[in-house]
Formats: sequence, C-alpha cells, structure tokens
Amino acid sequence: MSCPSTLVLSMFADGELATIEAGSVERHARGCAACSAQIAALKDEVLALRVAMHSADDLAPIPKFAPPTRARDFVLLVIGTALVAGLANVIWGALGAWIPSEIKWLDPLKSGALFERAMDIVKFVVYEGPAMWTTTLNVVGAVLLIALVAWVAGSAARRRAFVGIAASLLAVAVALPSTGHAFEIRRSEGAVTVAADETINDTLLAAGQTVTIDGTINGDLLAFGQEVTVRGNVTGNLVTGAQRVTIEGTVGGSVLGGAEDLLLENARIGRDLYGFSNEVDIASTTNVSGNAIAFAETVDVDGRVGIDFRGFGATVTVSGAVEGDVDGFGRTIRLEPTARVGGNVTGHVRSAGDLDVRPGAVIGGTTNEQIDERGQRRDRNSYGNVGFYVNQLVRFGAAFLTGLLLLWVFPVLRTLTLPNVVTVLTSGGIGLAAAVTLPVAAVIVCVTIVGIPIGILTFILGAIALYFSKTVVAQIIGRALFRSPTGPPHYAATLAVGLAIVIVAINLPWIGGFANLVLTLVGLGLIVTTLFGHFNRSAAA
Amino acid sequence: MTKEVAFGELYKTHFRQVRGLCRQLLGSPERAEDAAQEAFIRAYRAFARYDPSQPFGAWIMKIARNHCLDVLRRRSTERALFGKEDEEAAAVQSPDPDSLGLALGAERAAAVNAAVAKLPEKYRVPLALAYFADSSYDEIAAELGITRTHVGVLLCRGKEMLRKTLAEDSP
Repeated sequence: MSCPSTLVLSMFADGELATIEAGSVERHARGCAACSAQIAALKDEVLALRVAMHSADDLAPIPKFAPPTRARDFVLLVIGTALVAGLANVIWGALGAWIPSEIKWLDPLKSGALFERAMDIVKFVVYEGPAMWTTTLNVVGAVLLIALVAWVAGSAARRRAFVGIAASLLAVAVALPSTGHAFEIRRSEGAVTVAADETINDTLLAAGQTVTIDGTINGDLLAFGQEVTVRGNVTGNLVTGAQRVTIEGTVGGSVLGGAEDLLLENARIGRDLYGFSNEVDIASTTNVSGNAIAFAETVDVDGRVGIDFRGFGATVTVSGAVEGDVDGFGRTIRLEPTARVGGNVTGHVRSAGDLDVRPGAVIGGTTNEQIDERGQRRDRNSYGNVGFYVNQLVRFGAAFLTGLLLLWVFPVLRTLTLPNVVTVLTSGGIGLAAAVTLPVAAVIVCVTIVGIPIGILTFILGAIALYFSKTVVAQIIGRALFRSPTGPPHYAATLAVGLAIVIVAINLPWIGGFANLVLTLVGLGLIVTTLFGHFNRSAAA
Repeated sequence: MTKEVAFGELYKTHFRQVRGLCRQLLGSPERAEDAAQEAFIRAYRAFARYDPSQPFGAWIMKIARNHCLDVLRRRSTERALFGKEDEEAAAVQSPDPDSLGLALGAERAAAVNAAVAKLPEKYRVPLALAYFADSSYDEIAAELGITRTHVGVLLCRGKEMLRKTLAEDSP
C-alpha cells in the first residue's frame, strides 16, 4: 500500500476518519516509519495549536457586563413623571388657596432656605473675600507667633536652648517681617477685664465668661466669651465671638463679629464692619467709616456708614445715614423717613413692594427693586410654570454632572447600598446628627482662633456633603432599579435614573419637603459613615 | 440565589472562553470583545428559555459561534466563503517533516495566535471551531454548509499556512 495523502493523515490525526479507513491507515503506519512519525507530529502540532489558542485571552480583564438597556424603565419613568407633574398641578390648583400659611414650609419649593443661606455666603465671599482673607491672615500670623513662642519656651527648658531660640527668632523674622508688636493672652474662667486706665501695647487675646475692655489696646483685639463688651479704644482690628457683643468704644481697624446679638452703640469703627448674628443693631450714635456688611435675621442701621452698607437678613431696616450704596437682600428692606443714602438703593426682594422706602427718606442715587426669581415663584403655583420645569432640568443636569465627578473620584460611593429599613433609619439618624453637630463643631472650632480657617473649611465641606447627599441616595435608587444579573450597568445610567426619581420625589406637593429632608439626611448619613469607615480602615492599615 | 445572580456568575466563569472563541473566529481582539458582549446579551435575553440541566458553557459558546458566523457572513461579499473543495484539496501539499510540529511549540503561543489571526477567514474559522471549540468535522460541516472532507481540507491548508508563516517569522 502506498502512503496515505497528507489530508488523510491529518484527518486521522484529528480522529475524524471513518472506522474502516482509520483501521487501514493504522495498519499502514505500523509498518511505515515516515507516516508514523508524521501522524505523531501532526497530533503534537494540533495539541500545541489548541494550547496556544486557549492561552491567547487568559490575561485580558473581563469587562463589565452591560445588559441591554431596559427601554421599559425609561418609558415608565417618563409616564410617571408626567402623571406626577399633572397630578401635582391639579392638587395644587385645588388646595393651594386653602393651605394655612403656617404649614407652607411643607411646600417643597419653600425648603430651599439652606440653599439661600449658602448663596448669601457665596455672594458675600465674592464681594468681601479678599478683605476677609487679609483679616484671616493676620489671625493666622498671630497664632503662628504664639506657637513659635511656645516652642521657644519649650526649647529653652531643654538643652540647646540657644539654638532653639535663634531658630525661632529667625523663623518669626521670616514669617512675620512686619509684625512690630508682641502678643498678650488673658484667660479666665470668669471675667477678663482691661481697666479704663490700662493700656496694652500688644495684640490681645482675651477669653473668659465675660470680656470687658475699658482701657486701650494698641494692637488687635481677639475677644471670645459669653459676653464681650468693648467700651475702650482698640487701635487695630477687633475679632470677636460671643453670645452678646456690645461695642461702645472705638475700633481703629475692622470689626469681625459673630454673636447672637451684635450691638454697636456710640461706637467708632475706623474701617469695615462684618457682622454675623441673629440681630445686628448699628445704633444712631455709631459711626462705621468703611463698609458695613451684616448677615442677620434683623439688621438695623440707625447710625452712619461711611461707604456702602450690605445687609442680608429677613428684615433689613435703614434709618440712619449711608454715604454710599445700600444693598439689601431679604424679605423686607425698609428705609425709614430718617434714612439718608448717598448712593443707590437696591433691594433684592421676593416680590414687588418688599423694598419699602418711606416718605421722607433721602436717596442720592436711584432706587432699584430687584425681584428675586426664586422668591417670587414661591408665592404661586410653580407646577404650572414652564420655568419651573426648566429649572428642575438644570438642577438635574448640574446634579448629574457633579454626581458623575463625585462617583468618579470616590468609586466607593458607587457601591453603597441600603439593604433594609434599619440601614435607612440608621443612616438617617447619623445624617441628622451630622447635620446638627457639624455647624456647632465648626463654630466651636472657630472660637479657638487657629480654627477659623478649619471652621470655614468644615462649613464648606458640610455644605458640599449636603449637596451631594441626595446624589448618593439617587445612585442607590438607580442601582436598585437596574437590578441586573451581572452587577449594575455604568454608574452614569443608574445615577441619571436615580436623580430623575429623586428630583420628582422632592417636588411632590406636600410630601416633597419631607422627602427632601429624609433623602438629604439618609445621604448625609451614608457619606459620613463611608468617610469614617474609610478613615478607620486607613488608620487600621 | 436568583436567576439574575446566577447569570452574573456564569458570565464571570465563561466570558474568557467565549471571548477567546470570538477572537479566533473573528481574528481581532477588539471585535471579539464586542462579539462576546453581544453573545452574552443574547443569552441574557433568552435566559428564561435556557434549560439549566444543559451545560451553560456549550449553550453560550453556540450562541457566540452563531453570532460570529453571522458577522462573518454579513461581512463577506463572496458567495462561497470557504472556496471550492476540489481546488482546495488539490492545493494541499505534503508537509516538510522538519517544520511539522516544531514551529508550533507552546512557548510560541503569541506568535501562533498572531499567525492564526492573519489566516484568511476560510481557514481560520474551521481551525477555531475544530481546535478551540472542539467541534467535530460533522458539526463544522453542518455549521458552515460544506462537506466534512472539505472541512478536513481547509484544516489541512490552514495548518500548512500557519507552518509557513511561523517558519518565515522564526529567526
């Protein structure tokens, strides 16, 4: 028998020859070394080929499974949104007029108070940031000085005191070249007093139950306590935080005061006044040479402001003299008959007539009433307004983009879950605790001076966390909706769907405000627990 | 365990194998990735009809194979994708005994796969089905609409071309 063809040998090596044909090839191969070797080589070759082909893909990662988009979900969502919006329109139209004003806050569109405060702060920072920054730098410089002095003292107690002192002095000289005066600290559990006949030629840090300054401070005064009263003379800046701050004396520089009540009576302020308070009262005998900026529930300007006055509050009243412009942001901006304004008066109010200029008030420039769009819409049915939907769309877009960024930066937030009611309640509780304690903590930190930037940072971080709280919950809702067999689809898809649902939910009439609160608190709780969980793990690692 | 979770597990277990088959059939890692995803999406849609008593691997491989062949058929403008049997058979040459097997050493897996990817479709597809998907000649013949001898010829020619490519590439 002649040798089989290459094709036959190849098929034989693959075990694909019919039984009879295979038998004859086998018999031939027993007596033919060449064919026997070729069959063996062909078998080896196929084995090597199989191994090579199967190894081609071993290392490439397995991509995420992207299940087919459920068009049904989107259709349902759109129909649901339309139904809810329509229903809301009808309900609001029918009931809106009968709702007593006391429970109007339940209206979801009224629950933006926090947002408004945040916007006020942003506006303020934009206007006044540079000046505040200078003040903060001064404070930080002073704190640095204290730290260095403490370090020098510590070094002196040990060996090599000389080196320590020299290094500290050098550092001080480098860090604070312009500081001409030193620093004095007065602390007491009870009262801290600078008597009328006393003069301090330093920056003074005074902290006590009550701080009373009757004498003269030739430098800055940093005063913190339950009650701070300045009747004397401060040539530098005054930075103060207390339940009640009364300024009856002279401050050569600026005043930065945070208090429940900030009262300026007979005061002479050389530069600017920044007041953060429940009530800011600039009495008739007070003269602020620079600008006056006040954030408060009620702001009264009875005295004189040398340049501009800017007031953020529920009620802003001007009955004194403002040489420059008056800018009022609030529910009611009133200029009493005694008011004298050199520049323009601008009232950023919610509805026409809220800027109330009484007959007799003298205004050098123009009077301008700017209706705050957000505020105006609150007083009528927003659901029937196209602008409302555009607004919500913008809101959705902003939340989506920032949310994407958040989830991209912190992938851990993509995997959060709320498996049961207990987790929801726990997160809500933690969120409530965080919402209450964060601002308090920030204020307390601010009181320690060194913490002012930290306090501000805490506020900012808190605001950011609040903003993102609903995004986090939206992501979880989206994931729950998209329950797919191989894990969720891309987080952008779950986020988009979740956000759409959240925005519809928080705009539902009457329960929307509550939904907003719950979603915010749960989200905040989740963020806090995630952060702490992360830090704990980092610490443990 | 829900059926959906089960699918997730199956995906993880079988994806590499499915992608490997697609890669061998289509000759491109990128297209293979898409094809494998598509195969799983088809399986996902048809999952309700899947009989759990059958091995999932065979089922998904079949879906992937069909999908890839569809892709190839759509792409191919030639009516006879796999050539004429007698012409191909006439072209089969006796292998040079020295090149046989040697060129296909396992340590040259990357080179082998590159050479497979470069093969014309008509040789690559039967090769992938026979040596990657472990299909029999009869199965391949049925799938490609050719005779089983034609399958043998194509495999023979395919291996021959591989040997040549690898011999040229090797130093």
